[in-house]
Amino acid sequence: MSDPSIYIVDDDPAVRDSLAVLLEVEGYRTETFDSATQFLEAWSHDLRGGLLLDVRMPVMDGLELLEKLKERGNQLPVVIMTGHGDVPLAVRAMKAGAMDFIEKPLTDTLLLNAVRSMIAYEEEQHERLQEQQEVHHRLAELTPREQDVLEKLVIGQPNKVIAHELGISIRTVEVHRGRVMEKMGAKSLSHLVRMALQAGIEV
Amino acid sequence: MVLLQRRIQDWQGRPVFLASLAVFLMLCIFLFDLMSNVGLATGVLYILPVMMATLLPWRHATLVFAGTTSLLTLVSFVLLLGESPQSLSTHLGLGNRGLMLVAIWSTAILGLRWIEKDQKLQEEQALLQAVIDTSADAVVTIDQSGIIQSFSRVGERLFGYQESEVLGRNVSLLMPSPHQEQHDSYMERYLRTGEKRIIGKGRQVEALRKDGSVFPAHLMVGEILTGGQRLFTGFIHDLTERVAAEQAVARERNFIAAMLDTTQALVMVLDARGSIIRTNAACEKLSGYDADELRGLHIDVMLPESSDNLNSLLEQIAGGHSVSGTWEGTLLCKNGETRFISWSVATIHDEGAGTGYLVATGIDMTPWRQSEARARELQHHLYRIGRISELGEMASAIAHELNQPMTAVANYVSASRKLVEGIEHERGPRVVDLMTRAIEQTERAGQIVRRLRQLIGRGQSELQPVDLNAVVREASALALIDAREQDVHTQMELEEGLPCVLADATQLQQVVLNLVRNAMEAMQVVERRNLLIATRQKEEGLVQLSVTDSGPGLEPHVADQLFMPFVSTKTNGMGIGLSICRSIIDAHQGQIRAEPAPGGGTSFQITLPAIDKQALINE
Repeated sequence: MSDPSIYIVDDDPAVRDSLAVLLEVEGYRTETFDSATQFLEAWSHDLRGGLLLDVRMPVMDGLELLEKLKERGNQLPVVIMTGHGDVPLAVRAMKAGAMDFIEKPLTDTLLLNAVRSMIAYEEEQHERLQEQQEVHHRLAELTPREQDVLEKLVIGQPNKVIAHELGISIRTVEVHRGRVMEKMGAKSLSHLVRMALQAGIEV
Repeated sequence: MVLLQRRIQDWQGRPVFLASLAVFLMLCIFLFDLMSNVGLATGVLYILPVMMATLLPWRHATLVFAGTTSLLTLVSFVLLLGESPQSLSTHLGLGNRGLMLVAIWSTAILGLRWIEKDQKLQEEQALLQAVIDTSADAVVTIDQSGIIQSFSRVGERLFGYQESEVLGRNVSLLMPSPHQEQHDSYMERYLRTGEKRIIGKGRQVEALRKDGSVFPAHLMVGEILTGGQRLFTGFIHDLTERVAAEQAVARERNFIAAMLDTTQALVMVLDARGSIIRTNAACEKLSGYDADELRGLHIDVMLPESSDNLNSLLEQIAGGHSVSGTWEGTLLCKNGETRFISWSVATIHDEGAGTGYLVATGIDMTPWRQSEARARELQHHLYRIGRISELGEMASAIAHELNQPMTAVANYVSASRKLVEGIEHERGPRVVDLMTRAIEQTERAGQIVRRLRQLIGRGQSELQPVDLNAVVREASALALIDAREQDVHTQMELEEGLPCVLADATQLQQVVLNLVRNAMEAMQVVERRNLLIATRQKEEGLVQLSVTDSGPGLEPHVADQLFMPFVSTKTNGMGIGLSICRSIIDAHQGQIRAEPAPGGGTSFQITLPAIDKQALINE
């Protein structure tokens, strides 16, 4: 896992550099790329942070890069920068998966707002992902019998019915239920159900 | 009688034998005369040898024999007188001898006249035969049953029969079916009714050779009544060569007529008064008049504009001069339509008729003129649009180019302000204030640029469903006007049935024009100049146009900046062309890119979203 960074892709060196300077002053880590191709080479699933992308570039333009990233399953949020503030272009950028669209010359507030929300969104996404992974991890630690009990708990069956269906005593069901709560780190039954649904247990 | 004639003819064939016989006879008569009484008129017998002499071929034979026999008569008289000189006998003998001489000479004179007549007859016959034999016509004589009586030498040559083969046979063997079978009935009808169908008239018939081949001939029949016998003489003239020559002439005539009629050029022949005497099919088709209407029509009706020009030409022709020349003028069609014709004229002089004709050949330039006018109009239109679009692109390019440094300035100042904010200094707030103002000014500059672009921008583009192939065809036609002169070999591969694109046709034409002209310019430095213009459906919902040249290809550093404004490889280029293309294609939500062509050179490819027809209908 890399640390969150703002990846800046712009073919104009001055724009590239000034953006990096500004964002670093604001406390962000930055990495700059002078072409879409260069960024595509450096891209991996693990990248954290956000992408500031210029539309108009030679060889491969911003929109093309967006489409390529989308194909590869990119989770990194993208903010598009353009000197051409025309609507069709913005629509295409959004369709291709951009999160925001800002016009040059940019004001620092506009830029910083965009970057801030991009980072916030990414962190939220990241946390959710991590939570999900954690739940999966915990689910994997349950015994098959405990998983059976969990499935029935999630669909709201009382202990008595579970005991009857699984052919075990109510007492045993209660023991399994306690273990499941403990292993999953659930504070309440509703918390357990929410985690199970998040992890995509079939109901 | 006939028998005698035969015998005489036999003797004539053996003149020495006949002459010897005559001399022998003459001597016998002389001896007999000597032995007989003087009063006997034995000398009368001398008539026989004299008559025989007339049959001899020698010219003076008759006179010689007459003279000799006369002498012998006188000799025998003198000898006989000496034996018995009695006065009575003398008187009687003298009288006898006188009568004998009269008889001999009468016979001789008669014989000479007969010879003369016979010779004359023979000469006439020989002459006639010579005429018949040397005539180009075959002469065949038949009797009233159709049996051949004579057959001339030319006839032998013409029909391949010897006279001996056909004499006595029916003349119908010289003609093919059905006349062969019906000739007897033709003759029978004539003899019965006297109705003349061929006699004295002559006409073209078909004749049959011995070898079975048929040839065209002219037959003339004459009728002769001789000695109560009716004979018919046929004069047959071989027409094979004449017919072949006529056919050759007809073929040549048809060929020339066909040639005249298949040419796209108009051909008109005028007499010296300006009346049309001959036209070809192209002329009739274009003018809308048919050939009969045109014949005799005065040329002024069709070429009212050129009448001064034509009249002076016609006057020269009437004066016996030859004229030639070319001019362009209008032709007024029957329906009132006007066509532009490029004329060239020449003269034909008919020496026999002592007059001249004007031959005018014209080419219809109307379609060419129309396309020329259309091309000019389109070029003008594109030029105008090009200016506007170039201006808009300039603004756009300037905006972009200014935006970049201004963005950098704003960023740097913002960063500086942030840094200064964190420093405790008495002038800190002042610096922050000034930096804020600086940032405000960059924003203002940005606003100005944005407004400028909106003002000139491409708000005018009208998007309509457009057939990309039609756009490519029109723009290429314009761009390729001098392709041949530049030795550029162009290939168009336009896929049929392409879906339409939503576009401003004029702007797209501008793009195609630009790409094609660029390609042609790029190929000026190479020898092999191949240009491929192709369209195809790339995938569902996308159409692609590619313009591929065989030029030297792009240098890598140029390729990177190809679509940037103010980047040009041309010494006199502004570097706007391709950036305009890019802006236009951007505005059409398409993509443009350049890549190296497989065989060297560069391929520019434009991809445009196709219109979903179903969606259009739903809308």
